Amino acid sequence: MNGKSARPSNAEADRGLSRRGFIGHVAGAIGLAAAPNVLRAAANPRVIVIGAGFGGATVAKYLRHWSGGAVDVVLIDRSSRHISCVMSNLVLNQRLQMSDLALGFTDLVQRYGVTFIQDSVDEIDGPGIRVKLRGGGWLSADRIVAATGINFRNVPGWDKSAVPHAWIAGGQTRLLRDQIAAMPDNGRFVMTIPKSPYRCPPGPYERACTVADILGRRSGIIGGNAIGAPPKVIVLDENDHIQAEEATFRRAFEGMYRNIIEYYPNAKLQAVDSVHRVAQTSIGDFDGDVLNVIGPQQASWFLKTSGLVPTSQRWAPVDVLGYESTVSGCDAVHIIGDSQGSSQPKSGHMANSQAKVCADAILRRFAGQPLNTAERLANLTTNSACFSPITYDQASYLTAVYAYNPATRAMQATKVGEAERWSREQYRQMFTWADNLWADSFN
Amino acid sequence: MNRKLFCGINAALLVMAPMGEAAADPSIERLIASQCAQCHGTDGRSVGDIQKLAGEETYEKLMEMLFELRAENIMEHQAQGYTPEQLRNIANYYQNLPERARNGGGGQ
Ligand SMILES: Cc1cc2nc3c(=O)[nH]c(=O)nc-3n(C[C@H](O)[C@H](O)[C@H](O)COP(=O)(O)OP(=O)(O)OC[C@H]3O[C@@H](n4cnc5c(N)ncnc54)[C@H](O)[C@@H]3O)c2cc1C
Ligand code: HEC
Repeated sequence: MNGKSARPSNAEADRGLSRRGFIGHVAGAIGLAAAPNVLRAAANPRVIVIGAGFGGATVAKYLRHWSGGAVDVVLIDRSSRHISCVMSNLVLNQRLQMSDLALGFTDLVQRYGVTFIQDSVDEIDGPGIRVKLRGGGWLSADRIVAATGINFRNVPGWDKSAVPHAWIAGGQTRLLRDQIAAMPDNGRFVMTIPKSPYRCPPGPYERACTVADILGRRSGIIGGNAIGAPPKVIVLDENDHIQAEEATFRRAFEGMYRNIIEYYPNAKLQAVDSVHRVAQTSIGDFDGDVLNVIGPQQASWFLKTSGLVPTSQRWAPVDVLGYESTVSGCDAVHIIGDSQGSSQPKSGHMANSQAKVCADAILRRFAGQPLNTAERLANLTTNSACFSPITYDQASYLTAVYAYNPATRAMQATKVGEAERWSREQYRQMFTWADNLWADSFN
Repeated sequence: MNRKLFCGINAALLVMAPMGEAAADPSIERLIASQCAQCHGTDGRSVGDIQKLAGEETYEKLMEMLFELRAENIMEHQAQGYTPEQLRNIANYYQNLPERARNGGGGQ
């Protein structure tokens, strides 16, 4: 099964366009972008978007789409393609290959006219509205959007190359998949969950189920012809309860996975012995054949060193009318997705949702229109959705809609809904959802 | 000179994939309607087997879902997050969009 099955890859061909000739032009544009000050078009305002994940790709696309090409967009990512975390737990049980998770920027460049630069940004000068590229030099703009996801906070002894998080997809996902594949049938998998807020609230519990399913089937515990002791999945949660779809995950943990999953709340990770794969927590030490540390999270470090995350905070504070930074002097910098600090859940679907509000706000700023008209406030919404595989062919879901609350000036949930039971039908829906989320963000 | 080349590319894109709708004026309806696109496709033109919204009349169905006593699928949960007024704005927007972008493109 391929999550990217139905993608409109023939679009260029449909327009009867010579693909090769066109790529030639685009390559020219990319070349230009390498010499930043050449790029500056006098007529069009320019937006720099940092990070081409769910938030960044979507804001770049919609800025071009909605402006009819009247805004120049420069998209910067350290990688030449994005590897989706969404659906990445399905690589662990090998329902998907790593290549299924790779999302390219071809459509953003060719269809929408986004200029892509492959580089890392090391600093944002908020008041000066410019970004510093690791490759050298500063690039300036009229607005900047940062959508760079998460970084991990330091944990003493944690060596990520031995003890993966697999919470930023790519090599980490592959490493964890291979470690699980090499585990003994009755082995012991230990995982830690950080304090909320973290990326993808149901994700860790979904992972516990996925791994329990893998080990359960392999050992024969699921299917009823087990020999010897059951495999174990030890879940060490720093939070005092399951953070999302609690009823669903409880039912899975205490029902079909009761012989496999052991769930411990209030287990704060204090240190890691990466050689012997031991999680040292506030409730004791736990060693495993595989240790998966989903470490404590915060906004990208360079947002902090750029002054966009105040000292005592972990996420960048923003005004949800347009995701402009609330740090004084930095309101031309927008932060969306996992790095921003509003009360909404950190999900790819939500990053896409915020990106549209942000794109709309930027276009309004360029047109000299206010963000806070009564009509806009009454129609300011975002939403989130996560599908969670519970077994190798069944899934549950969680979805929520948020609306602007003028009293608190925050986005507030107007509806949170979750599946009453996991099902095969929802497992299929998960792929249609991912196809559309990926396409709405990247194609 | 370089700038001209860069603008030339934009012009080429415009010729090839003209705007389906007027987009110079960012509209309120457009923003709230775009919040359905994660699941139903950009401009309501979906990929795979989920209902497209572009060109569809959806208001009555959405109101039905809003007032469903017990939401039984992800769409009913979604509908129940919006007010009737918001759903009307969304339905209006999609109903007036062509089923396909002109010239078959979904781009600009
Ligand atoms: C196992 C798992 C399952 C998940 N399931 C779901 C789900 O079902 N539904 C859902 O909605 N979400 C899900 N998520 C969450 C989702 O992946 C994230 O919330 C989402 O990716 C956040 O988007 P973002 O744009 O903020 O950051 P990201 O998508 O992480 O993108 C950040 C981008 O910025 C780039 N970057 C970072 N720093 C720099 C820099 N300094 N310079 C240049 N480029 C930089 C990175 O290369 C990356 O491409 C899941 C996550 C995990 C781990
Ligand atoms: C999280 C994904 C998701 C989002 C967001 C979403 N939908 Fe849906 N929608 C679905 C799914 C899945 C179905 C099919 C439901 C089913 O029959 O199981 C659906 C079905 C529909 C239908 C057909 C209902 C019927 O029974 O005929 C309409 C109309 C619709 N959606 C409109 C919208 C509108 C308008 C929005 C934005 C407010 C929206 N959807 C947002 C997932 C979504």
